[in-house]
Amino acid sequence: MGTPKRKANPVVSSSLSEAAGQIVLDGLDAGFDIEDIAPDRGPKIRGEAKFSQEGLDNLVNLSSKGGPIPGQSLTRDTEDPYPWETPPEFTNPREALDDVVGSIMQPEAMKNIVSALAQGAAVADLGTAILYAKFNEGKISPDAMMLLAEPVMYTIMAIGEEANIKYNIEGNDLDEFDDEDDKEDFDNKVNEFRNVLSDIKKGATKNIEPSKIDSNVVPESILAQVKEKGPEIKSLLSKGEE
Amino acid sequence: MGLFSKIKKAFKKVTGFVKKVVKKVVKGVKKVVKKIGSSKILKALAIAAAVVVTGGAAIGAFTGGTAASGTFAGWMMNASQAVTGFTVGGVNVGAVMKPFASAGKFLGKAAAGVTDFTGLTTEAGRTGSVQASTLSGQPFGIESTATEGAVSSGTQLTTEQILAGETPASIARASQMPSAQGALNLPSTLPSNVPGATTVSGYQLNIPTTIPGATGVSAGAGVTEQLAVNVPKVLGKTPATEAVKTGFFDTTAGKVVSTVGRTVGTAALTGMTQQYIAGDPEQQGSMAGAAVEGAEYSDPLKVFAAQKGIDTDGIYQHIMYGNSDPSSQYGNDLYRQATFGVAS
Repeated sequence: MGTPKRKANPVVSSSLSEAAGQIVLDGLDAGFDIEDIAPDRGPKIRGEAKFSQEGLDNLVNLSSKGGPIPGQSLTRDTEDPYPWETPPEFTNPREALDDVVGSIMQPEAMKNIVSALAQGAAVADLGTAILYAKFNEGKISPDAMMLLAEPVMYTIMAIGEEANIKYNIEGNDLDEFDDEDDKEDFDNKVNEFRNVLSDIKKGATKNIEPSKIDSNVVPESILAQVKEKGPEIKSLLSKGEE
Repeated sequence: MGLFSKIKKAFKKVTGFVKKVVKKVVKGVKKVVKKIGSSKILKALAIAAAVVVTGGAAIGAFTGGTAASGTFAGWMMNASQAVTGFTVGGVNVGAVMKPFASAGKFLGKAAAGVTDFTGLTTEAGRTGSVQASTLSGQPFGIESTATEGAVSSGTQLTTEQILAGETPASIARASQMPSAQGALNLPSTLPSNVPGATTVSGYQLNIPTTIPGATGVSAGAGVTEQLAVNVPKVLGKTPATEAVKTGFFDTTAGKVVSTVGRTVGTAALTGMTQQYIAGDPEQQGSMAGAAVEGAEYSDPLKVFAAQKGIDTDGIYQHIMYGNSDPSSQYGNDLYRQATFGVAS
C-alpha cells in the first residue's frame, strides 16, 4: 500500500467529474497506488441488459394508453395544483442534493439500486427516474433536476462499484470502456509494429548497395537491371498499384 | 412539445455530457498514469465523487464506518477537515455549519444505514432503537430502549409547579443549589434611606467660589488671561517679556528665499497630488481618481466568485464540488494586489 507523502490539496470545482478527477490525480501524485484508491475485489457481476418480452409488453401497454390531450394541464383546478406546479420545497440545490442523496443512501433504496444495476439498468436511467420522482413530488424544480444529474449519477455509480457490479452508464454500454482499452491496445500494437517494420526497412536498405552485392549470389544480369532502374524497383512487400 | 418531453430531452443531453466528461477525465488520468484500465479509473472516480458528494459520510458507508487516516478516502477528506474542522472518523461530521460539512451531517445518519445494508452494523446496535415496523403490536414509530424506570427517575412536575411556570430545568437548578453556600440572602425590601447619608461636619467638600489671587485681571477676562496672571503669581515668579529678535526671514534676502521656497514647495506638492490622483501606471493594482482600494475587493472569496460570475451574497446557492468549502479560500492568498493602507 502506498503511503501519502503529503496532505491533500484543496480542490474546488463547479464540475464534480473535474473535482473527482483532480482529487484522484492528486492522490496518485501524493504517493497512493491505484489499488489503494480503487481496490480490486475479484471478478465483477455483469449487469447486462437482457431482452425481456414481458418488459416490452408493459412498455407497449403504457404507450398505447396515450398521452395527455394538448391543453389538458390548463383544465386543472387552480385551487388544487399538482405538486410540481407549486413552488419547489428546495430552492437551494445543495439542500436538494442532500435530500436526494439521503433518499438514495437508505438501505431499502440501495438494495433496489444494486438489484437494478445487476439486472442491466443504466445509471443514467436510474438517476433520471429518481430525480424525476423528486420533481413530481414537488421537491425540486426542473433546473435543480438538471443540476443534480451529475452528482446523483456518480452516487449510483459508486454504489455499483461498491457492490462490485459492472454496470451500464447509458443504454447498453457495459463494455464500452473495456472496448476502448482494447482498441487503444490494438492501435498501440499496430503503431509499434509499424515502427519496427520501418526500422527494419531502413536498416535493410541502408546495407544493400548494388555495388557491394556478391555476383555469385545475384546474377550479373539482374544486378545490371537493378543499377539501371534504381529507385523504380519496388519491394515485394510494398503496396501495389491499384 | 410538453414540459415532460422537454425535461426528458434535456436530461438526455446532461447524461451525454456526464459520460463525455467521464471519458475525458479517464483519458486525462491515463495520460498521467500509464497502464491503468479505464474501468479502474472509473471506479476511482466514482468513489472519489461519492465521497465529495456526501461530504465524507460515504466513507463511513463504504469503508465500514471509519475512515482510517492512511486510506485514500481519509486522506482526501483531510483537506476538508483542516478547513471545516469536522471529524471524519466515527462519522462525527457537521460540527460547523458550512455546506460541505452540512451535507456530511445530514447524510451521516443516512450513510450509517448503508452500513446496516452491507451487514457491518445493525440499526439497533447503532442507534439503540429499532423501527416500529420490526416490532409487533407497537403503535408508535420508534420504540426507545430506555427502561421505564430510567424515564420515571427524571424530574416530575406537580400541577402547582406547572401553573407557577416552573420548568424541569429550573427545578433541577433549585435542587442542585447548596443551601449553605449558594443561597443569596437578598433583602426583600429596599431601605427607605441610604445608610450614613447624613451630613458630617468637616467632611464636606469646600469648593472655592473664587479663584485665589484673582487680582489684577481685567473684568471679563478669559481663562487664558486669568491663568497668565494667576499662575506666575502663585508660583511667585515674575513673567519675563521675551525680546523680539530680527530673524533671517525678516530680512529682504530671507523674504525672497521664503517666497521661492513656498512657490517651489507648492509646485512639488501639486505635482505629487496630481500624480496621486492620476495613479501610477507602473504600479500594479493602482487605481485612478484617488480611489482607495477597500479591503472588500481583495477578499479572496469575492475574487473567486467574480471569476466564476457568482454573486457572493448567494454563493451557497451555487453548487461547487471538491474536498474543501469555498469559504476555505478566505485563508488563502489567492489575490495579491498593491493597495493603499487603510486604517481599520
